[in-house]
Amino acid sequence: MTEIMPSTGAVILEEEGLDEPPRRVSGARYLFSKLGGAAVSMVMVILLGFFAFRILPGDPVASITRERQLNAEQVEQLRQQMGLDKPLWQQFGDYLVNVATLNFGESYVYKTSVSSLIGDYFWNTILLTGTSAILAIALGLWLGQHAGWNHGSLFDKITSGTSLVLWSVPTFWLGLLLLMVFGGTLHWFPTGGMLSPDPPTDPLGLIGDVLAHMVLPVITMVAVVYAQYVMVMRASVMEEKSADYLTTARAKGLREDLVRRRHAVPNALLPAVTLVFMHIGGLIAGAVTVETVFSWPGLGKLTYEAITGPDLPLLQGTFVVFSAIIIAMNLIADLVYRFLDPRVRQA
Amino acid sequence: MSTQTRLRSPRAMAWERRRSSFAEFCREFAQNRAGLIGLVFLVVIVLLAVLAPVLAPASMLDVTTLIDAPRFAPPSWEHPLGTDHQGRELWVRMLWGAQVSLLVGFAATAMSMIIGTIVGIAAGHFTGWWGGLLMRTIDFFLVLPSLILAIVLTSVLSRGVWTIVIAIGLTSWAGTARVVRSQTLSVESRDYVERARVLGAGHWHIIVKHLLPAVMPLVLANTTLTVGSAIIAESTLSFLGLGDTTVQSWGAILRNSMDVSAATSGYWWYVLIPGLAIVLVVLAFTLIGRAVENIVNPTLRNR
Amino acid sequence: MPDLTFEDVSITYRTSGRNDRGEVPAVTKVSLSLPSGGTLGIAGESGSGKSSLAMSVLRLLPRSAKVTGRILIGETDVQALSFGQLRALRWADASIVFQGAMHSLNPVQKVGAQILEALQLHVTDRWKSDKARAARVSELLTAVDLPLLKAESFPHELSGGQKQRVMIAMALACEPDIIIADEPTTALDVIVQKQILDMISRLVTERGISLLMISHDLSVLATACERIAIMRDGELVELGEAQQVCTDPTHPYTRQLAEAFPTIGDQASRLKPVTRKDRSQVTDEPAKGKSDEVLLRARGLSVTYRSGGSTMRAVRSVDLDIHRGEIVALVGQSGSGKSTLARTLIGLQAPDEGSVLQFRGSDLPRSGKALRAFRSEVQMVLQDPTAALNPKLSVYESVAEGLRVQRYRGDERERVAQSLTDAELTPPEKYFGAIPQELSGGQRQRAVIAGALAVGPEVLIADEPVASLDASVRGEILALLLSLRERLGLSALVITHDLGLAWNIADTVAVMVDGEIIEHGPTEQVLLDPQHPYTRKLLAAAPSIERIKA
Repeated sequence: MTEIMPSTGAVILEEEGLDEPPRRVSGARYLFSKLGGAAVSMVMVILLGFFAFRILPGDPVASITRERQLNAEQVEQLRQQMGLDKPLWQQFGDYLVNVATLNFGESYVYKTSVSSLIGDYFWNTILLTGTSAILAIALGLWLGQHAGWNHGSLFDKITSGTSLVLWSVPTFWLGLLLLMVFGGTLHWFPTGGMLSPDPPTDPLGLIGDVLAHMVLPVITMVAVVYAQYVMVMRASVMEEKSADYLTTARAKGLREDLVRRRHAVPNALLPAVTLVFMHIGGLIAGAVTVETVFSWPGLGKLTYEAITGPDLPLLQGTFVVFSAIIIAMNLIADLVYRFLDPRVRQA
Repeated sequence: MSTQTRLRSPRAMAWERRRSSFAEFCREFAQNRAGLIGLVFLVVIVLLAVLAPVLAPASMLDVTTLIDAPRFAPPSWEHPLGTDHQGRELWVRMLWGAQVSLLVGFAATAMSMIIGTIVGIAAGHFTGWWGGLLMRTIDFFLVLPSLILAIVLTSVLSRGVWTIVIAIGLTSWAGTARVVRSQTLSVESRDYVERARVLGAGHWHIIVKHLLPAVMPLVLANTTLTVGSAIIAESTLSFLGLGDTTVQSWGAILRNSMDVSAATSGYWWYVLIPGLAIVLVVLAFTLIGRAVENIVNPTLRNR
Repeated sequence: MPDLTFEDVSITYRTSGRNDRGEVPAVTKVSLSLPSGGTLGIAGESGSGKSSLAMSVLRLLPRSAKVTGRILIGETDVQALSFGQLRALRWADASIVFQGAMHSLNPVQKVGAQILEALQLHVTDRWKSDKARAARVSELLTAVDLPLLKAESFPHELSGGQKQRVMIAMALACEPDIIIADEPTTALDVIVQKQILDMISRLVTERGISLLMISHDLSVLATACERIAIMRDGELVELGEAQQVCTDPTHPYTRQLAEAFPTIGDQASRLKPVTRKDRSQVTDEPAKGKSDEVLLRARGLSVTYRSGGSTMRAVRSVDLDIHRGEIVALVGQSGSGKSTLARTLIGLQAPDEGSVLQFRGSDLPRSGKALRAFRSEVQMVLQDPTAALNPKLSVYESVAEGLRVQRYRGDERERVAQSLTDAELTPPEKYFGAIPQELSGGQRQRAVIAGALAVGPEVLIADEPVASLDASVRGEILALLLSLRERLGLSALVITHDLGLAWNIADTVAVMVDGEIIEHGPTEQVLLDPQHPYTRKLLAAAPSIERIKA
């Protein structure tokens, strides 16, 4: 029985009026500590980016040239070009400088600078994954909350059953399937790309065209990911259901649905939100396969091409950028959590 | 309460208790219909995979013998699941693919589980600097997109089945580690661990006698769920072209299908069958995993 | 003002799933009445059905509960109401004060808003507008002696006592006719408990509200209620005037409950805990008492916690001696540092520099073999026996754990059997294969004690050894501690918040507040003639059956 709980202040003397003010961690301090954590993660990602490609057993040059026929002279030239003839520490220094200036080298496949490539395609990916994320979260949380509250009901059984099945589906296959049925056979939606070959010029038409191209990939991404969110929220709500403060709310005469909405859900949301944001990484990584299947011009497709190339600088660049996005998402998750949970505001 | 006064050695008593609790576990598992269906289905698939060389000799995959075989033949009595772009029977490829997909799934999971359990227990048990470092490492690997990292690893290492196993194993252990760590922390705070310390126990005793047994059921449940995601990961990596192109796997079959634009050309069996197989196998593992979870964690029983 | 009447009420729970036991009866044919403006207490141990009975008044039982009989508020049968009528009745006619210290308040909502919610649900002329409602919230907070600022606090920012006051304010909000208080003072410190009880009594009398109070502690009910009902295993066992029930009960079970909380100053309970066993051989011999040899000595012992940038001094310069054959009671409320002190004495917590801590004259070892050897001399028993035993290990293995860790060379089996016998779990073989789930609370605590005895300690430190046990079992464990002193010469340091317990079994009492020991001396002296004002306050606040006579 631990009785020394600093966060609740001195228990016994409070009754005599000696209230200890609760120690609040200021918002700024929290932000800085979380930013610091994110920065550390980023640094480790950058380090990993270097070592994965240089240190691991496997000659980078060999893996690049494995599919092509090059003579010894060309291989040596390639080696020089990649700077692999320099001593390791010098390579590392160059690498750090390059990363700092956002110079990821030149892509073998596209023959342009990797950073400019990434810059071009970056926002397309954000559009796709952002839309999918918002839809998946909203759908997942709403369904999960109802399923958890009415657990055992038909709605719950159907929702959980569907979620379980969808969780077992590989993202790319769902994409292929949707492509086959709705794109190939029924011709309801375009089968690839972000824009039609001859896009309309007026802004509304343009948006419409993009949206039409977005439907199938977004459905694919949402379908696989929302299932996880449903299960997380459902479990969270089910756990809150037995809480004592809900009995208090009912005793006051509150209607059941208000008990759920005003008391249970805000509390159940907290652990669900953290888990949701943690799994965002999975959603974003799913962009790799979805963009490949639907030929959506984004970072994922770039990654795929970097693999098939093989195009090492491009792969390095997309790896770092993807990781950066996910780290940023986790940072936002921490901040959102602090905003939602008053208990976190104290030490 | 045992009213027997037979003078058995305590070790014998302990074993008998373990045996009876295992029997109890099996009994409870059998009550979960979904889990049972999953288990049966899985056993069938494993059997088929093991018997693949017998049911469909490797010669059937030899393209040189299939010059006259029809390409892209839809499913019929002659070609039960249809043929692919080189005339090979799809059902033959599926059987052989089962071997690889399952093997990779199990092996990668084993690796992930072992690393995850060790790191998780260490992170939860050792306080101070080491514990903090391990926790940061776990969090880092959790944040890192495993698929991306796996892509990087397979690009750099030589292509092959074992590369994929290592890639998946090294990138998916963090989930297990996190769960194991939080369970370890919760067990560490229990009074009986403190009591063990008061009795004079050291690290080894506490880990082996109290932490591991408390954590193992959770690890078991987690394992079955991880196999499912490992199989999906393998298929994704193969689909992206990172696997061994000479080896059959369900993901590789799907890659072929994309290469030949099967989806938009109407060769639906090429796309549907392998994917369906993956879904069913992963679903089976998931159902088993949830059944085990329900037994292990009684609070989840009413899911 | 309506009466509250229970007519032949029975409550059963339907259990489903794995451990299907069919229907479990919680309450069997109970008839009680609470006249308007009166006060009634229901006492019972866990499983007696008292909480189920209380919850049934507002139909707050889970769906698996089946209620037969009638529950009447005035002339209205609560069971027969529609949901709409029920919601209107809830809180406006009868409200409940839950255990505020637990999780009965929404953690993410400010407490003021939670009180306000009650007013918004039952709008009357008195608080029709927002302004009127806000004013009422302030009025309620003042009535429970809380500063108005607290309305903007979240539950985790309040102390246990403050949360309880919020619960009371909330219960009063809609001017109910009946208030049901479900264990309102459990988990609160003795002094705070007294304040809350006094407040409830005062408010209820001022406003003419009927009070139904539930508690496991008979003495708490004695101070606040006119009549007391005793429940056991779902049945009503005794009912009568509070004074009569407590001092001259008719039913033997009631007598057992009453005696479990000994009155300080009563020689009959000094060194004689209530047990069912025949301990006549103990009472005939004079108590061995303490010798002069000092086993455990602390001088200037301080323990400071550092976290983040702040420090907290849990133990401040404590001097304490434990002699051979002595039973010392360390009395303190939560937050006093008593548990930290216990853990430091047993070596689990490192004391600050400059502290002197010695066992048999030499400093406490910090690590290695010497520490392990020390562990065989001084052992500890914790509060919750259920948590202290690994649920997967059998009793044998738990008791043998110490021997295995200490690399005991002798016959393990015999030693385990001997320890179980010493802890009065006989015949020991019967308990070898049992797992904790199969034992009662008292038996589990004995198993824990046996585990501690197995390594042959000289001193036993018991942290709230009976706080988690039912009243009827407390005496057994306390008597065990006394008899261990007799038979094995075991010294003990018993940590407790309960002065009555100290009176019951201790030779010496030390009172601890805020990390310091403010009073220390022989039991008779400290408890009958306290010097320090805090000790006097503690004694005055301790609920006692004697006091209602005065």
